[in-house]
Amino acid sequence: MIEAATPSDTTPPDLTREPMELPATRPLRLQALTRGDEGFVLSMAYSTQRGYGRTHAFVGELRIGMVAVEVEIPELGFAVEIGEVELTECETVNQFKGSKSEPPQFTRGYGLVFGQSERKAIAMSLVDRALRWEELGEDFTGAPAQDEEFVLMHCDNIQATGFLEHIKLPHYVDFQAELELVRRLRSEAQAMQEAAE
Amino acid sequence: MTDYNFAYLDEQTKRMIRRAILKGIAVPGYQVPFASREMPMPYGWGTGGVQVTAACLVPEDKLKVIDQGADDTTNAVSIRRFFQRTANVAVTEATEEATVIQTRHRIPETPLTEGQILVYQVPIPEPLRFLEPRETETRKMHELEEYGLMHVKLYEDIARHGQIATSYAYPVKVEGRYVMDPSPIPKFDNPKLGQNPAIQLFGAGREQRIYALPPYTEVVSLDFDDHPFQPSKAAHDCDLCGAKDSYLDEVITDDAGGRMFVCSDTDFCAGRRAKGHTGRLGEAA
Repeated sequence: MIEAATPSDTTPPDLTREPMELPATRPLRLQALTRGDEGFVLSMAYSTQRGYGRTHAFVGELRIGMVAVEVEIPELGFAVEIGEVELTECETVNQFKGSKSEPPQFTRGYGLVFGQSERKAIAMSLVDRALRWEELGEDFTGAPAQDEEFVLMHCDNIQATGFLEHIKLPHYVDFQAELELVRRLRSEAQAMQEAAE
Repeated sequence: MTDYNFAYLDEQTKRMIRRAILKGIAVPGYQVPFASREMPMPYGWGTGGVQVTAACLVPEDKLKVIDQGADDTTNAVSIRRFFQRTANVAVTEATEEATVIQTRHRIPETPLTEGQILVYQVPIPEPLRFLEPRETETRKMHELEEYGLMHVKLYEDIARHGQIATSYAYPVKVEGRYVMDPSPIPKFDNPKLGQNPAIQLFGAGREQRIYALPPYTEVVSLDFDDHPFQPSKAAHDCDLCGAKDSYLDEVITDDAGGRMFVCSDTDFCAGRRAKGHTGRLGEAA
């Protein structure tokens, strides 16, 4: 009745140690969503609820707990436990009528986020499920939440904030280049208009 | 015991970045994906350039950092101070003295020489990005050398405006193969990209790409036979040093329309004034 989640011992790729390459595997997608901005992930999830890539979700598991944090120091070559952190985990069970490749069954969406944030964990599960359309043989309906590149490349708010705020830096060299161009285009347009009159 | 590993990054990360740089030099103009690290500065403020510089620096280096051509702009000051603190390298404002120059938006006016490294900060490394937003598509276009879309864009500019309406980040073709974004330098600087004796490295941290131009690489600004590429600048001389051939910033001096034009390359301008050149508003040194 529910899709099998085959356990695997292979080490998943690490988004902080390898560049994002698309199409991304599910572990990379999940890492990106965990790091993703809560507002962005929430809106994406909400859009699937309103019909843009809809996969109705039931909450199968929603829990909060503490886990140990280990940091591997490259110069030392071993891991050091530096403390613990609170996480919220969510697994959704989603309605699925089957596709060309899969029988009718319940499918899964997964969310794991920092802190006590049920909202972000559930939202992440919905977005994860929406992004799985290809592996489940569903159609791409053009919904933003199904669009892996759009979601993954724009969910990181550290990247988004930095790039947005960099426009505070001086840009007078490229502005001057644009200024000269606009002046030239305007004077030529004006000359043509005067010649026509 | 120093507070930081030399030049901030750990040795494994530097090794990874150097591998990407070497690959970039081996395939000029090709964007090499690299595992960009989080730096103690915001994305979009030179995280790519800083990582490339960190991977290139050796203790004997003399570093120069410019933003908009100037050594005293906020981004340049912060990055220069960052490497003074984490690498304890000597710094300079003189282009000819520097062994590594990190830059945002300009190529110095003083010609570079063999042995120098110029590191560019790159916001959007993909020259095709604003024609095709999907990375999955643009990578394919580079693989297949499918640059028709870019030529159509340039042609449409000419049809609509009578000229190519791109004034900075003007696309170039490298060694007849890859179309490359030269970072947002004014197109005035494009002719300096080709046949340059220095190594030119481009780092895009947020977009996780490094690319390179080895010394004396052929770099051609895209154009058409009947609409040849034209580097352009404000039609003035520098008001401080009188230079006729340097890129100029326009500075508003009052609220009655007064303005002056000054070299954007502060080291170049100061050097000329020290040699006794003066412009319309300059005073002899």
